[in-house]
Amino acid sequence: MKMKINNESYFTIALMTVSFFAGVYAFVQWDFKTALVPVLCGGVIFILCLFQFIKELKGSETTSSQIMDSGFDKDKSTERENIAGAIKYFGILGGLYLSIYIIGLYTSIGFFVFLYLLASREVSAAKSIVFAAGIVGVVYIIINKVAEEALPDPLLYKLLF
Amino acid sequence: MDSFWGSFVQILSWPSVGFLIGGTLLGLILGVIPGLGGITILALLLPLTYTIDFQYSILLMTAIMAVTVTSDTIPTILIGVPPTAGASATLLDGHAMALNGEAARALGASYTSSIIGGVLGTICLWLSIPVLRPFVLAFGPPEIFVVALWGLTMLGALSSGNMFKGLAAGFLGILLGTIGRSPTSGIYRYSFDIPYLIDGLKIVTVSLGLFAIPEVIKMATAKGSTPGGEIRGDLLRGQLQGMVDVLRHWGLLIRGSMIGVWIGVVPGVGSVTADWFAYAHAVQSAKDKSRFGKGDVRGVIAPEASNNSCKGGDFIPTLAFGVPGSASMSLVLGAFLIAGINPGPNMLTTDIGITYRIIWALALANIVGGGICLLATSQIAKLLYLPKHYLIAVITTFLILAVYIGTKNIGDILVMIMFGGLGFVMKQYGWARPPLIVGFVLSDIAEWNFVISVTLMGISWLWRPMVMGMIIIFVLNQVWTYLKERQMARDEAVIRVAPKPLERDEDED
Repeated sequence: MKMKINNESYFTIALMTVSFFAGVYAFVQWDFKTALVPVLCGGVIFILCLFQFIKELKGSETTSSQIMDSGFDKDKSTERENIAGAIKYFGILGGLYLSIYIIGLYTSIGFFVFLYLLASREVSAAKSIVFAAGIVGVVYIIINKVAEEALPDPLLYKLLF
Repeated sequence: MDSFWGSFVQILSWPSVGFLIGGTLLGLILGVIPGLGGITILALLLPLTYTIDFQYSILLMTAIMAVTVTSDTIPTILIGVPPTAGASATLLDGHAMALNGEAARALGASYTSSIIGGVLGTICLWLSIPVLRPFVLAFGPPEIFVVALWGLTMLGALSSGNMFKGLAAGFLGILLGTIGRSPTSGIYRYSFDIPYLIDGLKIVTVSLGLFAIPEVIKMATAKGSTPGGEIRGDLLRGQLQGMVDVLRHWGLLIRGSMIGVWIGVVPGVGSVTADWFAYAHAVQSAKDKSRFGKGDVRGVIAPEASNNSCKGGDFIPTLAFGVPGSASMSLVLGAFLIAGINPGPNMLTTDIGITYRIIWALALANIVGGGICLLATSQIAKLLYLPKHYLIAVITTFLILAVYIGTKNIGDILVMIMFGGLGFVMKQYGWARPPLIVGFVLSDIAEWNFVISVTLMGISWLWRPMVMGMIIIFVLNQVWTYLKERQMARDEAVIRVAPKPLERDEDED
């Protein structure tokens, strides 16, 4: 029988590792009442992932689900394209996170929307600016008028003032 | 009864009616956009529970949930792209009707079935209250724990098409839910002296990361054609013909609705299952089966009635036992918990007013939503062609806003991104996400009742009649699921040479 570790199996192995250490950590660190559920969960996940891993190694994984669980998906993207798209999007989110931390929410969102639309090459710079300003306006109203919240000062503001 | 009618009057008063209509409009609009789906919308709106009074936010969430399955038929029928897997069965005949020049008739039949199915589902929810009350009130911690575990494992076993993955995801959800202060001993678990983790992970952050981010990524990377269907001829006349079709097949409509309610009650088998079961029933019960798949209106009526009535059934375990049967219900449960309300026996006694408000909201949203669709199909259909870069920019902004506004903790954004990574990997490799979020929401309830049962009764709680009965059903169900899965694996090995017509989307509920 041919055994092969594919990309999916790495995720299964990662889950096995995390659940194993979570269970052991709970068992060692806490009293019975506190550790009971984490140890049980860690153990159960480890065993289930082990079975799943064996299944993947044997290549007996069912790729089709029950008929009623199926959806029609016309997306023709490949796994590689999906992963590339995900990396790009997570990069944007990471940048947005840092930017909010450094220069604050409103400015970051304004820049993000403007640059994202501009990068799409389907929207002109003028339209992008107008749309970004509109979005910042909506965000401002939601935070200040609807939720009535005050935002914490960004890092740059703290450094300058 | 006074409380029942009192809730109706309350809902029709301002601002409740505004939230109800706003939720209905939002649900209709967002339900049309491929890739979004009800769960993403609910996750985005969950933070409102922090800022808006719960009595209004629950109306908004209920209305959205009720009508996304009504408007999602527009892209399904017109362009053959179901925005949610819950509309996939409608595609077979609905889109075929559109290609045959009968789009308006298919849409008319679909809206009418949705309205009637949704109302019938709500009536079943209302009728279930007096039936369930004595059972639920007899429940102690052992029974509540077993029901929670039963719901979670059913969801895990059935929602992914792979029992090991589904169950592991459910237990991972419980494990993640244990981060922070232990409900039984007060000790901080897995916090590693990081201040952010002391309070534990938040349902808003986890759900947005798990569900919304992968959908946005999918939207950004999606390729594929959108062939087909447009509304030809007189829209009104076609829709009227569809409405008459529904009345002509009233028996099928009622049976489809009942299938939806029943499937909604069972955890783990949500609107996707209801859709296909009802479609299969329509085919099986028809004398002339030759038109199915080529544009038979019965292939639209049954699944559409079923996926709307399913929502009424879905609420039954959530309200009565505090056990959500699907991912979207786990978010509704999350909203309850954020507001400090514990679903369960209270929802049938002291908090019955909230239950009645939900019942009315569900019924009214179905009627108003279906009515708006009948009147404004052409306008709603235009949303299909919104440029995706605008959508992605807006959704990303609201993702950030949704997690940041509640706590103003920048750490929430980082945690959301991390769960987005987890959600993406799970989606990519066929790990169902609904069991994870349900496990996460149920974590505290399950742990509290389990530890109380063990502490007070040792192992003797296992011999209580209701617990034993549920455990027997639970074990039989798991064995049956496992055997069925093995059978499917064998069948698949035999037919592997054939091209696979369906691709799954295991996360729709």
